[in-house]
Amino acid sequence: MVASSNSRRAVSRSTNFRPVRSDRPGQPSQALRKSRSAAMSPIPLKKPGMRSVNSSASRPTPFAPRNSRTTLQAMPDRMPLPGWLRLLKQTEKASLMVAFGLVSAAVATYGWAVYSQQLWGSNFNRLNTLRRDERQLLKSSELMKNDIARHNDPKQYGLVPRNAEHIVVIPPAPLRSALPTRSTVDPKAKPITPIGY
Amino acid sequence: MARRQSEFPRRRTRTQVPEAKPSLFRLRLVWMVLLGGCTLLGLNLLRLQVLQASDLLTRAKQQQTTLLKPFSPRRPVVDRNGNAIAIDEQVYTVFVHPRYFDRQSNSDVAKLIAPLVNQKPEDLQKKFDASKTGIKLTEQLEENTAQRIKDLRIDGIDFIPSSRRVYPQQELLANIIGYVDLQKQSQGGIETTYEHLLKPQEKSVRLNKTGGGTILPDGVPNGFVYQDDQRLQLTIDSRMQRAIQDIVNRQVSSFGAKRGLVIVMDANDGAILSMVTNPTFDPNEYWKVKDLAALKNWGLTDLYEPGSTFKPLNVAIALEAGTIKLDDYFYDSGSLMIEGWPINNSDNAARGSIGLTDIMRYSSNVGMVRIAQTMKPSVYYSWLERIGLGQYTGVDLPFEAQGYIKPRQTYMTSPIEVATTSFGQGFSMTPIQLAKLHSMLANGGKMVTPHVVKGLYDGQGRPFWQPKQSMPKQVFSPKNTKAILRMMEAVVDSGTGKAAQVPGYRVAGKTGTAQKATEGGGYSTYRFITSFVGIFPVDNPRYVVLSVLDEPQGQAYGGTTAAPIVSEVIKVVAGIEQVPPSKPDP
Repeated sequence: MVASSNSRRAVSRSTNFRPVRSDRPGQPSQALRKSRSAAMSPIPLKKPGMRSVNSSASRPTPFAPRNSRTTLQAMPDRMPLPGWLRLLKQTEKASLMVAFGLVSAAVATYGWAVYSQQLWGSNFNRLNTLRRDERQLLKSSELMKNDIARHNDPKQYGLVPRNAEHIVVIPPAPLRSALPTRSTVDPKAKPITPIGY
Repeated sequence: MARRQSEFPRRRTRTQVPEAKPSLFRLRLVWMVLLGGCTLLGLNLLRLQVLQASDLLTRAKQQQTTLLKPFSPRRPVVDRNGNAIAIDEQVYTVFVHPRYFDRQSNSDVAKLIAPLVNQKPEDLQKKFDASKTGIKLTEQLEENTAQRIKDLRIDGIDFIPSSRRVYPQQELLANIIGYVDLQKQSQGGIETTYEHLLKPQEKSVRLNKTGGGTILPDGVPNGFVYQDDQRLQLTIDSRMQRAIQDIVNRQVSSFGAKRGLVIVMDANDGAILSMVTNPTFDPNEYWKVKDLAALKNWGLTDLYEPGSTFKPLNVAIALEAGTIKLDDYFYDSGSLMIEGWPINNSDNAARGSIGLTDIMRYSSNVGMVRIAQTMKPSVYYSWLERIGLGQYTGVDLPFEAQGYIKPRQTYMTSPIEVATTSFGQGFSMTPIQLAKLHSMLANGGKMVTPHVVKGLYDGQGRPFWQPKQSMPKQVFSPKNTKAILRMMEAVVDSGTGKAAQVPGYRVAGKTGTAQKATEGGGYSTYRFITSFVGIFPVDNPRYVVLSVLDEPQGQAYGGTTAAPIVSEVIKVVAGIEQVPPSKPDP
């Protein structure tokens, strides 16, 4: 660091060292005194050939004198960013969002893919079991029917073979005379003659 | 700050590390190690990717894929009312490999499995001790039992699935449905005729599976899981079949007959409602059949001479040919000589001049010869051909025999052929063909094709496929068939077929007692085939019932043996079909 850097930058940096000033009110600390003298000294702080380790250790913190009339100047606004950079930053933000969305979608899709396959497998097994049950139910019921008809006396179940004697014939009722049809037209109503307008 | 200052002297005393000199040897060594490593890696890559590639690929496929082959059963067969009469079930052949019984000893496994496969634990243990692998434990193991063995979670048991056809009604419909043997080959019946509709489409697909064995359904083709619920529906009514089977079995044994059969046919469309043959077999255990004749449906495989049951058809032919009229009379002299051959009435009675109704009522052979003689032999023969003698009926059951009739030339030159044919001898046909011919008399002269299959229907009863029936050919005129039915009614009312009467119903019928042809030529004097064909109700004719008994013992006639069977059958059919009692002609 060179003395020419005793500029706005050095001053602004000195504000960072405020706690130093609170050593003891009224009496400037040793460091402060040193820094004052350094600030006023026309001699550059860094001599050529000095080792940087030592120089940094002994270098006084530049500090504006409390009594001086110099005032802190506000930092100028940052330079407006160029358009391409702004665009790039916006693109970065947008792509970050998209990437996040895509990653979540990929995780979800992968999860669903794995889960749905397991679901398919278990449902397929269930379908096979149901089909097996259906077949066995059908077979058992038919075997039971055959067994009842063959080995047991159907009469003990209250069953008798169907025969011509079991037919109940209900003779059709004689034809009734047709009811007089009622006219749907009210005889009192006057016929409406259509009128064209 | 003071601390910082105190550090300075220490820094100053730090020792200086001498710089390493570059060594060419070390460079080469490192280079060689790296190069050697790369070479080895490359060689390994070559081994894996080129030399062992195919073997590794096969092993990977074995581990990561599985052949998914869901059980696809042969289509079921149901009767007219939807009762299943043939269904498929999955069975397993079980192999045991004792080498892989990790946790259990042979005796433990034997004790666990023995009750499930109906074997003694000691026997099983002997089997397990005898061989380390590939022991066939059992065949045709049912699904439930297989699942119970699987649930025991014993390593080293292999289940090979296959299918088995089950016929819950046992021998009730064996003559119609046939059977499927253990090699899945259809043997007879509609299992053979409709093989193309019944046979399942074997579906299988190779799928990936996870390490845990879960199947990954990627690559399952569309519709792979789908199984249609179509079943082949018959026109047979199994209740009717069962009732008639009882009747036939009882009468066959009571008359000491060799065999018997009953066919019930709906004359309107040729649908066979019932077809009972005796003897028959249990298709679930077809290998236990001792008499191989029981395996065939003799209602369509065996020819016989129909005898007098053919007489009404001859009368119809003569009426259609226009050589006789309904009110014609013929002279029945009781016996005749044609070409030196005597022809007698069965009762040897001479009835003089009688009408058509009486010829039928008394089953007059002489009267029938007189009727046949009114036609030119060529015209008569043409008619016989036209009604299908010597041909197949076209029934949808396999192994049908073709009827037999002598060549036209024989009929033209020898009058005895015309004479014997007039009372139903000298030619042969199957019982199913006789039923088909009589259905023409019942339905007003239309020739329908007998069949047992109604179609392929789905679970909701919607038709998927139905057999195409050609337009029935009009052979006889309705006026003549109606008159012939009245003649046949007289047979049952007051003629040879009185035993076929059913209270409340008007039954038309015709007896038949034919001598059996002997192996040495000519006819046997003591071996007969008795038959009776009935058509009811006469006022609204619809059902044809044919009953045939082969070699009933004693003085057996169609009117005494077969007619009572038809009477019983008609009662059953009328009850199941809910036929209203008959009314007299207006």
